[in-house]
Amino acid sequence: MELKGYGDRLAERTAQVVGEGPKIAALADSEMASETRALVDKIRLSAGAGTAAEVPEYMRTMVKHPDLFRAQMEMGTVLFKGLISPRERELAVLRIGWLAGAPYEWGEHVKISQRYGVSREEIARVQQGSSAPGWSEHDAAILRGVEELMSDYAVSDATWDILAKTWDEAQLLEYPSMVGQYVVTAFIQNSIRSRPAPENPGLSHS
Amino acid sequence: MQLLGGAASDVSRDEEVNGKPPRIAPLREDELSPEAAEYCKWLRGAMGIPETGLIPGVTATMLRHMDLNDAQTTIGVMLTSKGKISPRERELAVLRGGWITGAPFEWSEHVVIAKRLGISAEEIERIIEGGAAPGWSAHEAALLTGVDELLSRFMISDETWATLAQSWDQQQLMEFPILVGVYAATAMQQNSLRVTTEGGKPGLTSR
Repeated sequence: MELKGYGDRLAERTAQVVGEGPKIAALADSEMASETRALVDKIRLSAGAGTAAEVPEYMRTMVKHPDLFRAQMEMGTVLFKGLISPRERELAVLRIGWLAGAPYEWGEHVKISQRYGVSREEIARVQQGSSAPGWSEHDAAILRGVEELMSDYAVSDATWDILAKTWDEAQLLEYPSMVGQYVVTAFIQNSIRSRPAPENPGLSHS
Repeated sequence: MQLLGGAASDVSRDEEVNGKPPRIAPLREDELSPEAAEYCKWLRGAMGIPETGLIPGVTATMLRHMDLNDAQTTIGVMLTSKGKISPRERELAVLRGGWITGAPFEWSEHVVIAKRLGISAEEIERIIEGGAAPGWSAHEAALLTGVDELLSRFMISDETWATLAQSWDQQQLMEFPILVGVYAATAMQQNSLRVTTEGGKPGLTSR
């Protein structure tokens, strides 16, 4: 199956996803119960983000379904502190956000990935994907696995064998779940039209 | 973007996913860490498995990564026990997702679960045809179409959202993309690990 992505129609995709604003209104900061606020802070701290002066709009929306929010955040936290290295994870997440045409996820992870050692040149190369020249064999396999999972819902033997040269069994176990979790994030953020923060240019962030 | 849908031939997809042994072996009982053994005790209680009964292979594999297994259990239990989307609606979505992702384990398990919840054999055939097949209510057609949209375009269209919003409240609307995504993630994981179907179920040809 072909996975085309949205690279040649960024403006159109951005308008489609976030053009009309959120489908579900976020709670105002002042509307959040103190326990909800504490939950958000706990999640942010466990991800190394520090408490926020203002809770992001996406989180202020998702807390309207507290059980779901908590379960999603538990998964996110486990993966954030997972067995796959942060740089490897961020390469995968960027490829996911790009292929899913996800303005929020892509825009946020352009920032986050640079904290974990992904260069701006590599961010541009992620847009070209696994076959772009310059990747190590292992990094190319990480990107190709994302492409395979998002189009065929399975990692191929060739890609698996390359990943297995570097990763142990637990890292290999984590990989499809990690990709899946960030696909989930694109599904929800795109579907409710989560907007990137005003200073974040979304899909044109580079 | 085109959907895999119907997996060209069920049999060839079954062969592709499960034609070779699992890529990572399930843990044997004597290989369990104390933490994993504790989890198995809980799981047997929760699922009504006898004390020495077999832990499902997919779980026994995931026990190699306890943190991830715990987080997946949390979201799975949340969606099935505290979810706002009804069990019937959930299973319609899961079956459509399992079909589109060509996931032998997920499809075959949820055919059994769906039937237990009263989804008929005729409806299971109709899920394979998708939301455009005649016979669905507008709501259920939108639910099935929403799965296709998420798996091909990574968002729900305005039209589908508007139809779902006629029946569902905000919490149900928020839950839907996550529900579809979590089961798609499960399919990605199970397909990639080549998880063997339980009890010799025939995979995508299960009805």
